Amino acid sequence: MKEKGLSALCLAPLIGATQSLGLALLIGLLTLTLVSVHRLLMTPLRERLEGFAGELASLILAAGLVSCTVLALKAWALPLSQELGIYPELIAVQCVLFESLLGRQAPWRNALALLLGFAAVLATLGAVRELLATASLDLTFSAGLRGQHLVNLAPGAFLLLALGLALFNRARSRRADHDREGNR
Amino acid sequence: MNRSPTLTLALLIGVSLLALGGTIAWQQALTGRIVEAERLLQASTWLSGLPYGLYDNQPLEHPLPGGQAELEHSTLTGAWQATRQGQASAVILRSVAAGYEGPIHLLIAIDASARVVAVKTLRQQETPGLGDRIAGTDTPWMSQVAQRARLDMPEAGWALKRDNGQFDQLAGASVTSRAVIHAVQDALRYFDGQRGQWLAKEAP
Repeated sequence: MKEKGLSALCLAPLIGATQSLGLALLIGLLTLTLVSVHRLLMTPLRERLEGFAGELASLILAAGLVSCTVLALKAWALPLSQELGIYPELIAVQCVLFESLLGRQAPWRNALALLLGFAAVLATLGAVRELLATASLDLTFSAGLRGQHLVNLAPGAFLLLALGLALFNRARSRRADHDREGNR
Repeated sequence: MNRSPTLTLALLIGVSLLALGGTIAWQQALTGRIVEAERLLQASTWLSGLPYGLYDNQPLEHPLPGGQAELEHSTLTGAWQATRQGQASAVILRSVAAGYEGPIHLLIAIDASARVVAVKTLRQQETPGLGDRIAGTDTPWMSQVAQRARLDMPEAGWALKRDNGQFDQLAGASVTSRAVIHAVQDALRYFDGQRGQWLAKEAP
């Protein structure tokens, strides 16, 4: 995975929209569908618009897509859209970042792998936070009744994310050690 | 390869018109649904504490006249009629009282026999942990107030027990408790005055 590809994933939904497993899965699903549709719509325009014009077009498309999605959420699932807050709108930023960083060179598979990995991280974080806060896992979306447990708030999410990153880095470095041991 | 600037401009304008026009059209199409959904959500949050068989209509769609009034300790901002099988079964009142840190918005449901069915907090800014327990679902104090409130209670009874009244106070929140008790007192008395008009009127 290219380094610049990783910067296309935003931190805000990871911290703010993962108070419960249901919420995290929903944000992951929305991100996946919106970024894919945005990429699909940009494909015919990518060759014909270059530079600033291309970025402007991607911005306009992302804004339109996200607005329509938010309106649809409000019309058919109003309590859900209130739970999600502003995080669906932030997906527009991710769309634009994806387009500008992974638009031309990266094939579909890379982008899809990146999105699915993001959704997996969201789901893991959501599951862990919900388990720690209420000692049970279910697919409801109400995050407001959990009280002031640390993992429900942003600092707790940052701590969990840091722990996750630390474990991930440790796993990667340990694999490298094994290779070196084999060569000695 | 140089792209012709006119093609670029044309494409950009085309994309903008498509995105903008599509979004506006979508919004127009969905406005009715969104307004309806918001009304339903408001009704379900406001009326969620009321007992099950109390009514079978949509009370918030049947406002009653005289629902705006300045009372002794609170202000009434709305009155709605709840009916069951065409007969008026309860009146839903929305009242604003001055709490410790700011206004408290209460929903008071009074049934046809002038019994307070439920008192519910819609909006408040009271002290967290003390006064804002009126908004929690695990505090029995609000239902105690509803049960003890009676129309024939003398003026002296509508006070905290430490003021020689009949109501317990919420621990550490006497100002909040008094505000709620007086709001219920005002609402009940006003209901008594309007009773003939409010309960006789059948659902339109």
